[in-house]
Amino acid sequence: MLNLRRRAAELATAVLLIAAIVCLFVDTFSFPPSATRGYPGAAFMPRVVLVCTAFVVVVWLIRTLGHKTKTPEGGESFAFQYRAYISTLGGVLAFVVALDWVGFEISCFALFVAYLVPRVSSVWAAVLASALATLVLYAVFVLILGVSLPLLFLPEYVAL
Amino acid sequence: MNILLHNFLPALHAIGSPVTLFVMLLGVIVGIILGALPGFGGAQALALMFPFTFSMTPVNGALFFVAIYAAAEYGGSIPAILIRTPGTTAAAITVLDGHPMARAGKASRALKISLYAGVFGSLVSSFIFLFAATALAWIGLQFGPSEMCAVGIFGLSIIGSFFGDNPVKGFVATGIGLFLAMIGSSGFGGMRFTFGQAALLDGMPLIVVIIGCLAMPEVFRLMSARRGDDSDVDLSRPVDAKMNRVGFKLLGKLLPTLLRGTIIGTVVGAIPGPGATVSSLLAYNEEKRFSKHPEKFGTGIDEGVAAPESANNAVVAGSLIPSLALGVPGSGAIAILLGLLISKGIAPGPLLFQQNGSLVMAVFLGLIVTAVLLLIVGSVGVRVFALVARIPRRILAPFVLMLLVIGTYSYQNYSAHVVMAILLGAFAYWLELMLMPVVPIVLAFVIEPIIETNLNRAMVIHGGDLSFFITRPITVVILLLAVASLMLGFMRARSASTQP
Repeated sequence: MLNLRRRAAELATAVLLIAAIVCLFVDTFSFPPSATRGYPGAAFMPRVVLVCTAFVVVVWLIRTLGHKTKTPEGGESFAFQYRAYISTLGGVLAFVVALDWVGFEISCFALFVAYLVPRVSSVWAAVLASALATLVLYAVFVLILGVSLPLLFLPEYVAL
Repeated sequence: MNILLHNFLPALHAIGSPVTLFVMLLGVIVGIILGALPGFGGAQALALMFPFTFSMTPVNGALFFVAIYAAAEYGGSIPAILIRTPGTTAAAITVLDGHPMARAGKASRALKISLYAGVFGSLVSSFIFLFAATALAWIGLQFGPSEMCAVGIFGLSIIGSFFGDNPVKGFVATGIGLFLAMIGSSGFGGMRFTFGQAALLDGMPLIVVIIGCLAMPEVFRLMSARRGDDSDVDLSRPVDAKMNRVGFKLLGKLLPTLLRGTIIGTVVGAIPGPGATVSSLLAYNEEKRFSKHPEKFGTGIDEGVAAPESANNAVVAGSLIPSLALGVPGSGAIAILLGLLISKGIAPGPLLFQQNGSLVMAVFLGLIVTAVLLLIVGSVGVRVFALVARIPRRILAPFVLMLLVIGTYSYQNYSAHVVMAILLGAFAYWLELMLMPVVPIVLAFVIEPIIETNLNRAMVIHGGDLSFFITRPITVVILLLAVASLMLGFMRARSASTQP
């Protein structure tokens, strides 16, 4: 767990947003112009939105800079559970990659086991719950709703 | 009107048959279940069930679809309340007060209010459908591109209600939502912000943005929960029955809210385009405006659930008005319903009321029977659904995550949507840690295409002349409402900041 200062985090976020807006604004010059003179082209609305957003982000930045660290808001910190954040993000991205390689059954079961083992007292309970949850998801989404998930072996054993 | 009343008895006879009642009961159950699954809205549910209608009569098929559509709108609110995951796009607004109620041990109360509001919305809008179908259909047809563009601007003007106590961060969130909506094909020729990624060519689907911005941050919070987390509902404590009771006294108190939500939902439904999400947003905003305690919205109050739920259920009957009377589908789900009728040899349009009056009357009666069935099935289900709120958050986390992942994937069988949802979720979670409201991202995402597409259409129709903004009466009225809404918002914010 990280204890982050809100003021510092907000400043970093605002600066990153401004950098992103500048990059996106530059990108709008690659959009095709309007086919008819006098009509809005593909870049018209994005530029309006990006300029307005940049303006409010700058206001946010200035207001955040104005907060002294001694004030309650400026000095406030918050807990950031970075391990849970990274494991959630990484787990889902790994699942998406594994889906095409090892199929839905193994990737889904493995992700459930990885997340449930630290959360429940018994490893066997976690494994059993993972297997059941995988079967339920397979039954609902594949068998009943006909979702086309990449499958490895379950259709050979469980099919309608 | 006379034609419809003349068909009352034949329609009643048709709808009273055991087979028809069974078909509608099945539709209600299927609708609730599919509506509760992330990624399956009313349109997807109807598309999935289309093959089952091949052997049905036109009346049974239409009633089956009406039951599914109405029940899906209610079903979407169940995960929205319990796990902050809207099952349908329209339930995104229900999250705001429904989930805080569940966290406060009032899950059953929120689910009941959602159910009763939905049933009320369905019933009252059905009667409006019967008595005002022709007039509302005419009003709906007066909305051309310039009026729809004005509706979008009005929608943008009321997003301010969701900014909380920091308008600057709310505006930043709105900008992010508007930007996300512009990814993909521009509608003017050429692509925008795709950066050579094939997955971005079609833009980001609304369901991905809703799951990413509203449901995924909750997953990150759930995944961060530890053993003995104080945000868990205490399992050893019995459910407070008094706190969760929803009696006639409370419903009487909520009656004005329900009426306002129903009228907004029916009128918005009659306008082709905006749909249930916009109706929920408008109803919530108006309720907040009418309330003596607008600051309590978002903290878990009854009105915050009743208003959007009555509105999004009323949309069903409302959207049937232009569909049946004029043959103009108001939403994707209704387009599928029209497809069913056409496949059965029935042409929706002005002559439908004369040539197939009994079918229209059966649909009207079907809406009422559906509402009653929804009440029965929903009342039984509330007891079961509410148990989810008592599962410890750290145990619930992986199951909710996988449900969202598979739900997002199943939307178009596309892995890239899962990647978009989780990345957007990680970003939205970080923004929430910065105390930035994320609901404006979703609302701006819904509204941007309405403004841009219709502005473009209106300019083409009017030869590039922007004077349509001041010459078309409905456009002018809506724009004036938008200005008034903005000014009212500023005045309220100023008075709130001057209060000690």
